[in-house]
Amino acid sequence: MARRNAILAQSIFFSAAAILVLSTGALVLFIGSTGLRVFSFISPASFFFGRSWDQNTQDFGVLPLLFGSLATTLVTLVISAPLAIAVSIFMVEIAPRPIRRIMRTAVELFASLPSVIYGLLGLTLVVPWLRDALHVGLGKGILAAAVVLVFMTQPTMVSIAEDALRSLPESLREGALAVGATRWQMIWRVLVPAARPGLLTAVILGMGRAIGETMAVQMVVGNITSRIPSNLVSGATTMPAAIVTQLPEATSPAHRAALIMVAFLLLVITLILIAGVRLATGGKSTKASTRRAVPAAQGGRPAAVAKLQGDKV
Amino acid sequence: MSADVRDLVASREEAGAVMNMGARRRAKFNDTVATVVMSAASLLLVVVLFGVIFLLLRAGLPALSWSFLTTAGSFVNTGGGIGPQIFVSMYILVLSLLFTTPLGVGAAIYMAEYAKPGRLTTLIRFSTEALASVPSVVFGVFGAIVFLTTFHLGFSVLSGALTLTLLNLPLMVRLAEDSMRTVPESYREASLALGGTRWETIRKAVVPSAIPGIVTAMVLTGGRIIGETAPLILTTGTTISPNATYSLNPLQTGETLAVHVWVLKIVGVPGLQDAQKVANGAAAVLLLIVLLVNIGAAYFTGRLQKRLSGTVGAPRAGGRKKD
Amino acid sequence: MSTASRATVASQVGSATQVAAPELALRLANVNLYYGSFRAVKDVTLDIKARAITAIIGPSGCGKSTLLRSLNRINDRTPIFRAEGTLKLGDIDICAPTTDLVEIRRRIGMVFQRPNPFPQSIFDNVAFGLKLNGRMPRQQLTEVVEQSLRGAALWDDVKDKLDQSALGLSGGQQQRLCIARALATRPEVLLMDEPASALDPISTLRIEELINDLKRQYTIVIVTHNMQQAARASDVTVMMTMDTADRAGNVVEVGDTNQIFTNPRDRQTEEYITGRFG
Repeated sequence: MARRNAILAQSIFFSAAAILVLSTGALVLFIGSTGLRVFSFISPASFFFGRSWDQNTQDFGVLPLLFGSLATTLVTLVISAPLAIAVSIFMVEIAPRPIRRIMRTAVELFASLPSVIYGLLGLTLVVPWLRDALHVGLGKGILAAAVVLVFMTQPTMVSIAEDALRSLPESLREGALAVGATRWQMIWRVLVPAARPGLLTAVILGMGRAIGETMAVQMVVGNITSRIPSNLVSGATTMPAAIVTQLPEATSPAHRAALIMVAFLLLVITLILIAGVRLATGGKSTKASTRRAVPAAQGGRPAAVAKLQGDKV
Repeated sequence: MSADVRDLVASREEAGAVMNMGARRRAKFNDTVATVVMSAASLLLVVVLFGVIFLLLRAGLPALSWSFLTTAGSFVNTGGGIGPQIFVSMYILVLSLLFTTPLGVGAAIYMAEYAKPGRLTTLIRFSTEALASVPSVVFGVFGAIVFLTTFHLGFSVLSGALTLTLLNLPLMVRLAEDSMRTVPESYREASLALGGTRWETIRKAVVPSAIPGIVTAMVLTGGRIIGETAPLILTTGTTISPNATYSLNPLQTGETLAVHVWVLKIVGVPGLQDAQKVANGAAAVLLLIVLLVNIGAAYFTGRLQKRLSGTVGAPRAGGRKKD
Repeated sequence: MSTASRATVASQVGSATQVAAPELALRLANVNLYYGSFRAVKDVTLDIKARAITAIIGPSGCGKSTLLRSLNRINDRTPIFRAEGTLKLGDIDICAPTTDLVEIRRRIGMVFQRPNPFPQSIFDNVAFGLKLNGRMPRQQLTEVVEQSLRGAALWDDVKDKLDQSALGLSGGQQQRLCIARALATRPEVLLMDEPASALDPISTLRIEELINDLKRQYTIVIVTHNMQQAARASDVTVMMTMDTADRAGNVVEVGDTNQIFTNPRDRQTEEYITGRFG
């Protein structure tokens, strides 16, 4: 009796775990097979190299979306990566303990804000500010999206970069200081190179967050899909923003399939980024990249997990 | 060898000459500049965050009142609220947690207690990791294909809850698994030594000790469900049918609080009174819920730690992989 | 100046200083060291001779390491640590708030308990301190790196793999690399905190030989748990114990190593070196 229960229990738990594998497979399979149907309506060339996306003309060229996503991510990273590394260095090497605690709380709060709130802030603060400062158009565009994303990507990047720096042994710091390095020389010449895999992971996962972010971007990017944007301040779109804007209203099968194909591209890019993390960390990436799930919800790493992992505060 | 040593000292003066004062001053200067820059960057980040929270609350708090939280938006009079949207948010929250918790905890038990290193375990880990990194909008698209079309559930609360279940499963599994891994090995050994089967050991020793961790995971997942928007726009919809507000029918379309903020700000609801005020109020409510969730999670974490600090004996014995 | 003439000058300088009476390198007067309100080391007054090896011995927890680590102020990294009293390197007050830490640490090098090479190439590890203070011509850099590695008796082991990671070296080699890294900036004093405690006996012996070689030109202060090591390698021995009343470490006896080990004046010293306590 007890034995049968034990076997039953084990199979139930295994099924639960198997659902994770099945879901991942189903995700790729369903989105892939549905998305690829787009090629029964339009040619792959006109999808991948088309310079316009317009449901009125049934043109579904992905370049405006792809370009918007890449440009947004690039502009975000250029500002966001140095900022995150500077902040994590400050938290680990410079800030006294009480300030570090405030910072960590701040970063965790940042992470837990829903993206629609970021969008709201972008809409009421960033967009008007850009419009007035630059006197171009409405202020909505890639630059506005990037400004919002800079702050949205900070929790992910800061918490991973901070972990990477904090896990360096104290002996490295003492070794550098003992030969007469200033604190900055110690940081720049010893700690940053030693933490490079972790810092790289932080940047890649921040990048993943920027590429996948939907609502906050949708609210400030302008949602112009018909052309490749010519500058950073006129209306543009990104892949996720186009999906969430158009999918609920997509009536033609071609339009719907094209949008799902965009989701498939997004999925593929994400999987490539995970592979990148594995490469950066030399294979053992589990902790770092599942952490991305957490910032999206909550606290970069919930204090519970961080502390239980032996991260002494 | 002593010749080598003498050589060293011979170059001491020479090395001293190389350590020129200009370079040293420059190093000092760089150190100061770097410190100032990094402190300023951090200050900027913190000021922006707290500034932003302040602005949100300043715009939204005046709108809050009991009637705002309990009544529907009005197309006739001013003073409408967000009652139905709060109801839908809570409904989806409960429904989704009802699916996510047993699945997530079950999978976590498997990974923490049964899984042996091997291909299968690697595959499960990789899937969890991949699932955790997929953008939420992609889950929305998946839900739209599978739940809406294939299962004919249509835009509905149930479609949304199922989609969010998949979205949150990796987080739940990881947090629950982590909390089980902190259960001291001595508990398991004690139970096994008394002749318990593995299943009894898990039921009586592991799961009870992991409960604070599981509760924390539920709180965090709940916070995430409340804030989620993109997948719900694609699966639950953006409207609440006027003759089915507060309906418990899971096949109704719905509009959560977060979606409502977006609809009011971006799509617009023609004729709705006080739309901007309602949007700001709804955003403030969202923010307050998130703050509450953070405090709640911190509280459970604190309890968890208190328990552990009292009971943790030897760290887990060898053989169990530590990741 | 050519290499040859430099060597000649060096040997003259070297022999001249050896003839002269040993001078003092470090002077400590009424030094008290605190962690918060806890006094870890009390009332140490001590003169450390130049170009000699001073060993600090004593039971665990008597503050040996704390005392050593306050000499180059590396212990300042502990937020609650505080030093009182006079610590002087020549005319420089080590503890004065205006003192340039970089200068202090350039003149007082340190080797730690566990080898702590940077995760960089062997060459970069040794050149690290040299590159900190402005650019040095490559040729000269290479020369100094070689001298330092020779000085640390490591050159023959690594001369063919200078661009390989330092982490690939054995523990003993890593520790000698750390000594080379400390030597490269040409310090006057070398602090060693149980430098062989993490090494096997053969590596330990090599480090001891090396220390003995280095003392011709360097003032060495070494903390050790190992009585034989102190007896073999040092000229002067400082015995510290922990006061049973307030748990503060203090110096109970200072003297010529021979005298300490053959004819200790203090009862605690005698008990400690004969292994009866500690």
